[in-house]
Amino acid sequence: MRRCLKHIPADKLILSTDCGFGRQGFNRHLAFYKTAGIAMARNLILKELGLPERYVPVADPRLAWDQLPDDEPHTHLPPLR
Amino acid sequence: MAFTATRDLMLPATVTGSWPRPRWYNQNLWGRPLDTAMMDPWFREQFTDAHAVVVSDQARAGLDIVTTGDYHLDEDVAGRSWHHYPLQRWKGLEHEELQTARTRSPLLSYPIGTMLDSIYKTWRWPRVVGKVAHDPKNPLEYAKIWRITQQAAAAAGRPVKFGTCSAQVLAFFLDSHTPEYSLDDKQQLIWDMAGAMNLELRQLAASGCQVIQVEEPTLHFMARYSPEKREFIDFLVDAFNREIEGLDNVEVWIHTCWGNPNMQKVFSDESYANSMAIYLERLKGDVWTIEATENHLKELPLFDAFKNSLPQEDRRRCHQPPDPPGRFPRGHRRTGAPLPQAHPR
Repeated sequence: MRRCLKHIPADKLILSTDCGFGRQGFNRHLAFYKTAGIAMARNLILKELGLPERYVPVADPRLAWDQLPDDEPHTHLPPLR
Repeated sequence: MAFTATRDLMLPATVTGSWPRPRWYNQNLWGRPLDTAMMDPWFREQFTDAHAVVVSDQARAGLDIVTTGDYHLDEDVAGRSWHHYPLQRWKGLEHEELQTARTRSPLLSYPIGTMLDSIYKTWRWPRVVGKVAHDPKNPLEYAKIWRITQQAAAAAGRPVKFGTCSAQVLAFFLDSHTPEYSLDDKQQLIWDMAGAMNLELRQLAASGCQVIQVEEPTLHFMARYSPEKREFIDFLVDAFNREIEGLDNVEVWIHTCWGNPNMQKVFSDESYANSMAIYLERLKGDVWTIEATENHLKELPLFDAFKNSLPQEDRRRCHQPPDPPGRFPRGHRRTGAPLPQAHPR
């Protein structure tokens, strides 16, 4: 993205993929996190430009669910450490 | 053409279009009219649920503009439905068959034993047997598919970009079996297909779709590999502009790439050098997306020569300081694609 901005003004640049992800052979899990990478990279650049970042739900720590919730003592074992 | 969806967005993020299906989505249209399939409760439920899923996936990933995932296309070998969806529904085409050794299409001459030979022959192609035209008995239903997806996206507040293959990419694969068209001169066939596609796109725009993406006009291929065919390239410019004619209040995107990123490559020495001016100055449209990361961003310097030719109008429409998005009529934004792809369309 930074390399693109050396040649294309930020207000003329759209972030996307080279092509579609397809239907037959590609993994939806991979497509999802590749795509989230675009949005998170966008926010890095927006921050560098001094512009407001935009919300990425999958990157919101408050909504992360695939980990042991140390802060949910009522329903889980206490943390080991 | 008009900037609608991205007017106030700096660095809008999206994907090209197609998206891997949920594992449970195993229904296909196989040429049937959408309305016919939607009478089947199994298809109806999967089709609408799947569109809600793709919207949810892309919104959770943080995209600003979401897509339909191309979920109306069949899950067939190597993305065949991308171009066969219209071919299975327009008048003047029938009987998909394996290609004969006498086919005129050079794309069907890869060596036996290669994946491209397998793909191009497996796909099969219909015969052109009459004048190609839109068929009101089996329309492409782009407007209806967009409404189904936008309904799912409404709560997320995201515009849905609808993508379709360009009509002009189809003719190169087809052999004419009718005096309606010359066997070798594809111009009339391309022109008629552009008209058929335009009807569907006008209906899509009338339904409220803000972002329409036309995928893979052949101009970058022709300009790169047959630059001497200037008259034909001029014709393709006119044909493309005919295809998107009348989309006055829609943000029109033009997607281009070179085939199969990360798969067996179709080209090894591709370049946009000969088609920069065509895409930036001659085609109507608002956004041009390019294949960038697959060739390690080596073509970015090509844009330097066009920096000063971009209209420098109204850069202060957006509320986002300090340098909000400017817009330029008939100008084009470009895509710096941050990720290579693993599958075509």
